[in-house]
Formats: sequence, C-alpha cells, structure tokens
Amino acid sequence: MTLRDAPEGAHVRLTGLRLSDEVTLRLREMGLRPGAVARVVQHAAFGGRVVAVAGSRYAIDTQTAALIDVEPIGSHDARAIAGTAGDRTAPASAVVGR
Amino acid sequence: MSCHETGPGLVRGAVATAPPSGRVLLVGAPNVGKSTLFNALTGARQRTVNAPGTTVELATGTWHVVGTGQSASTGQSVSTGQSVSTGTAHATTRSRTLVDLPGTYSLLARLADEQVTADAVLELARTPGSGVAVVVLDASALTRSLYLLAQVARTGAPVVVGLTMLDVVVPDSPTGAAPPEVLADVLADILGVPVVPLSCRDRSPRGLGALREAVDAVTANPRPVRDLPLPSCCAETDVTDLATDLAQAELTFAWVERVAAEVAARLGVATDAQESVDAPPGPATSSFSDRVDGVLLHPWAGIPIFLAVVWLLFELTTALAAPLVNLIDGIVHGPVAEAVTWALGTVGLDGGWLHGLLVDGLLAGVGTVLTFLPVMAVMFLALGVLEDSGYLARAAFVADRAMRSLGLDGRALLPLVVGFGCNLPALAATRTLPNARHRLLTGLLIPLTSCSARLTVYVLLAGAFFPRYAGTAIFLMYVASVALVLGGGLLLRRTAFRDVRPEPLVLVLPAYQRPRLRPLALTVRSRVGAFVAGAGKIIVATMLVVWVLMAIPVAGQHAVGDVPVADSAYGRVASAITPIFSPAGFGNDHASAALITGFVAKEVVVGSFAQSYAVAEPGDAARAGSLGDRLRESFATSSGGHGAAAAAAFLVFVLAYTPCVATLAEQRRLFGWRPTLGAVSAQLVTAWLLAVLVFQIGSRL
Repeated sequence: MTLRDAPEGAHVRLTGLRLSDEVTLRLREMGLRPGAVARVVQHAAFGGRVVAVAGSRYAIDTQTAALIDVEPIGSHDARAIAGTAGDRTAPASAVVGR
Repeated sequence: MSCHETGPGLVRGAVATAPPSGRVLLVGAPNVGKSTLFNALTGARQRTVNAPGTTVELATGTWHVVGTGQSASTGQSVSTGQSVSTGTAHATTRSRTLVDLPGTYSLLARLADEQVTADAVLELARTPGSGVAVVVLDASALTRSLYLLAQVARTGAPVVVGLTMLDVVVPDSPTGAAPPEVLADVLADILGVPVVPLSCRDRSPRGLGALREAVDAVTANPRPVRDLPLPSCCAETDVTDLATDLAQAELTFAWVERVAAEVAARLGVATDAQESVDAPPGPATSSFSDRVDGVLLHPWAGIPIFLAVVWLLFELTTALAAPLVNLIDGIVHGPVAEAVTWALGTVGLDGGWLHGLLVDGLLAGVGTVLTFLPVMAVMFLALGVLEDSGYLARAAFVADRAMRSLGLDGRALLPLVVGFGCNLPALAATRTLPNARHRLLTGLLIPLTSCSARLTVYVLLAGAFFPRYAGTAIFLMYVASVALVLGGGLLLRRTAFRDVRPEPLVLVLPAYQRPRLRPLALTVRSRVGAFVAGAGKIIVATMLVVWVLMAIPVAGQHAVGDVPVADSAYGRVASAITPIFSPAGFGNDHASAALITGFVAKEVVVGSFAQSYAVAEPGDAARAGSLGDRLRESFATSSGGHGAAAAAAFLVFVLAYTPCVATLAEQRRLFGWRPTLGAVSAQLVTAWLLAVLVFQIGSRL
C-alpha cells in the first residue's frame, strides 16, 4: 500500500520511495528514509498528508504520497487498514499497538 | 573511534595567525531558529543585503563583544556589550561579522538560495582563519540536523554547534525529553566539538555567552568533528554528479545513524530505526501543533482559513495602511512643504524654479518613498508573524494545488493576492518563497495584478464612458487582470521558465510558536531600510527627472518651473509618442501625457487628465462632470467616433503596463536590471497589443 492509502492515525513503516534519485536524496536529507516509522497525523485538503517521523511533521502532496510505499505496523493497524481503510471516525488512540 | 588527526587537520596551521575577529556564519535548516539567534546576537546592528551576484537576501550584522568576562546574564548585555567584566586576560573589544545564511537541509544545493549557503561555507573552509560556522541543530530533529552538520564539517570549516528548539515540546521526538544540558554534553562528547544549548526566544536569551566562548575557543584551536568519514579524493572538485553525491550522502547517512544511535544509547531512549514490527511505537501522542493543524489543515476548514489569512493580509496592506499613508502624505505636502517654502522665503528664493525643484520634485519624491514605508513595514511585519508562527509552511501546503498549474509554490498565492491591493508590498512578499526562480517568476507576474491605484482610473473612465455599466466594466478589469496573470504565468513557464516545474511537495512543518516582537521589529527595520536604500533612490531620482521635464519650457514665453504642460519638454515627449496610440484609438496628447504620468504612479493619472484639460480635479472621480465631457470629446476625436472602444482600450493599457516607478525600483532591487527592463518592455508591448486588439474589435461592433 502507499502512504496515501494509510488511514489517519495509522503507524506505518516507509518501505520504498518511487521517486527520482534527486528527490529521494532530498527526502532522505530531510529525514524521510526507507525503514523509518511514520504516523499518519492528518489527511488534509486535496489528498495531502501530514506524517510524523521521529518527532518531525512532514506535509506531503497527494501525488508524492501515492509514490511512497508503506507497510502497516502492529496488529491493530493491520486490521484497521485491511478492514476499514476509509474509516476516519476511528479515534487515533484506537490504533495504538502497545 | 578516535580519528582525531583525520579530517580537516590542515586548518590547524592557521591557529597562530588567526585574527581575534572574523566571520561567523549561521548555518541551519529552515525554521531552526537561526534568525532568532541572529537577532539576539546582533540587536539593531544588522542590515539586509543581497548575496554578491545573486538575488538572495542575507542578513548580516555585527556581533559586538567586550572582553571575555563571565557569561553575561542576558543576551541584551552581550549583544550591546554593556556587560564589561574587566580583569580577565582578554579584556578587548572585538566585533565579528555575523551572517545569517539561507536555511537549508543540505549543502548539495538545488536552489540558488541553498547555493549561497554552500558557497559561503566552502569559502570559509578554503580560507583558514577567516571565521567559524555555527551550525544550528534542532534538538527535536537531531538526525536531520546531524546530516547538515556532517556536511559542513566535511568541508573543513571550523564548526561550533548551537542547539535550539529546546523549549518546543515534541512528545514523539526521540531526543525531545532529554534535558538540554545533558543532550548538549552527550553530543559534545560524541562529536568532539563545542555544543552550546541556546534559548533565544525568552526575554533573556540563554547560552549566548557560552556560544561566544565556544566560538573563541574554536577560532583559536579549530578541531574536526570526530570520526567523520573523509570526503573522497574528487569531492573537492566543483563538478560533481548525482552518483558521486549519492555515494557521499550514503557515507554521511551512515555516520549520522551511528551518532544518533550512540546519543540514544547514552540518553537511554530508543531511536525509531531500532523499533521493530513486533514492538510498534508507543502511544500516539499528539502535540499542541497537531491539534492546531487538526483545524488549520482540515480538509474542509483549511482552505477557508487560508483564504481568510490572505484576505487579512490584503486588508492590512490596504485598509490599515491607508490612514498612515494619508497622514504622511498630509505632513509632507502640508507642514513640511510650508516649512521649506518659508525657509526659502527667508533667503529670498521662494516662488522660483529652486522652490519648484525642492518642493514639487525632491520633496514629492521623498514623500512618495515615505508614504510607502507604512505599507512595507506592515507587510514585512505580517509576513514575519506568519513565518515565525509556523503558518507560512501550512499556507504553502494548503495552496499547493492552486499554484501547481503555474509550476509555483503554494506560497506564491500570497504575494499575488496582495498585489491586488498594492504591487509593492506584494513584491516584498515574494521573499517568503524559498526558490529564487519562483521569486522571479512571481515578481514578474505581480505587476499584472490590478492594484487599487489603477482602480481610480477605471472609476473615472468607466463613469465617463459606460455610466450604466460602470460596475460591470470595473469588474471585468479584475477578471482581465486574473486572466493576464494566468496567461502570463503559463506563457513564461513555456518560455523563459521551462526549468520551473511542479515538484514533489514535501515540507517540514515547524511546530507552532508564538512570534516575538523584538526580533520581528529588528527584522522589519532592517528590511524597510533595505527598501529605502535600494528602491527609494530610484523613486526620488525618477520624480526629479519628471519634474525637470515638466519645468523646461520648449515653446512660448515661460519661466523655468512655471510652464503649462503642453509647452514643456514633458508635453513634447507626450506629443511625440501620441501617434503610437492611434491604432488603439486613444492617440491624443491628453491620454499619452496621462499614461506617461501613470508610469510614475497610477494615482496621478486622474490628476494628470484634470491638469491637461485644465479643470479642477473632481472630488469624486465617478461624477466626472466636465472632465468626463472633455474626455469623451477627445477620445471620440482620436478614435474616429468610437470613444467607448478607445476608452476600453485605454483601460486595458492601464491594467497591463508598468504599474509605477516604485514597483520598478523594487523589482530592480530584488531581481536586478535585466529582468526588470525585460519585464517593462514585455508589459509595454503586451499592453499595446491588447489595447489595439480591444479597440479594433470594439470599434467594429
């Protein structure tokens, strides 16, 4: 799945960036690297996404979010994502893994 | 682990000759608090300049230090040098030049602004003993900050680390919970260079004294960052390709990971790299900023809120600034003009050409610059608040979709909207764009936004020629303005700006913070000063030239300085260009004289019409009265009976050509002469073509 598909509040691990080398390098420099754990903080207008990685907040436009591959972390998240991907009413605390 | 002798050890040879003062470069990521630190260190001794040969603005200032006394209790006293502690061995006054470089995440520059930072660091590294780079690290985003530190240190520049964002609560940051001093000690121990915790946002900034001591120590004895991978043999060449960059970056990333892991181990916290699928992250702690973003970036509420912010900015530069503008205008043309007249009278020089030159030329020019000051100051202040609070990055995100078609950053929408109030603060607002090419493209489009000064012309002509549809006519001018901006933007993107493409938008959103007044005030002062010095001179000079042209009689028997417009050199110039406007239907001397005046400022077009018809300027431009009759008469004559079509063409010309000399001067200050003159030519040609088109179609309807 891609970052765009991840529901609000989900914890995901970035697995791949399908972007040009230049952009990938810049994202790594900014702290978005494959393997990093991200929390989807918010879905914004026009499909934009806000994610939290290691305390920083990143705003990502919808096209770029669709080019970032992620995998869900934790059983709760996995179920939430598999079952009700579009369900935004689930409170963020419901996807806490531990 | 110990590779003390590796790295830029060469620099050590310069220790003995290192001067006591030198340059201090502030290097750091955007929104890391560099400017706050800069303001705390320099106080009022700062100015805004362009980096040599570029359109990138830098703040430089003097960091004035007296002695090396005990670390001063307040930054105020450090920055003003009032804390004199005598008796120490080095009780000497020194000043260092402090440069606030553009924020960047990397020295592998992609933008002109980032290149300025990279070049400045390289220059520092190549000139041993010339100064120190203070790399400002964000304590809440350590890995990102360490990467930049590694790049700076690898150039060989002597580095001191400043640690900021210690007071920002980021619950999910790996290092966010560590006490500042502990974090600084751990970092200093691992890195082998001084690390100073800084807190500049309070009334009494902390750490400035320690920073001074650290800079002194590193100046005297530069030391490399420990265990840093060496640049490869080819890294010193200026020509690098992406593959080399990537390979270098990998080494640096590996170093950053090692350091981050060691910091985490010593602090007893986990880094996110160590978290496994089996042990997912802890509770989703949403910070204060997350909760604010929940509203400000809400899919539905976010856009209206953004529009409200833009509207507020627009109102500030028009409604709020207007009374101040009127006040200054009144003072300059009232008491000040009277005082000058009186002073000249006492030496027997009143009423002559000297009086005209001083009052109508020089004073009018200075007055024009002064009337722009409140607008510019309000704009700079508002932008500073938006920037410091953290909202500007959100604005870029929210408006991203709207500006994408023009290849521009979402932030470009702000200046373009402000342009409908006044083009000048709109140009000032382009400085919020981090990409120099975006700034230029936006700066070239801003003159096409219909400012409120042009509205006075629309009101006069629409009232005179389309009395029943005046409102619709004026509305159409704004529609035309938006069409011109879009058309101009698309055209430029396909020609001179093919390099400006919509790029993946990934922004670091800074935590929301309360803007502080003192640093803001210092910045506003510095930027307004740069405007006066850069654009003010050109405005005054142009006003003087216009006065001289109007004062020189070329026909009839007139004294210099007391010439009817038609008999002046100015009138002759106007007559000479009149035939150019014949295909557009307004080839009459009145119209061309008004257009030349409009080049100086659109506010005076109505006055120029009134003057050239020698009727009193109507108090309410809409009730044109006899001025309207005269206008209809001369436009009908010059257009062969199609007065309305000629008037429409005239309006389009006023919309599209150069807004005013102040805009011109500011464009030159920001972008240089070449793009400015190119833009003026393009505006004149476009305006003429559109006016001819409108008239040729309109007169055949």
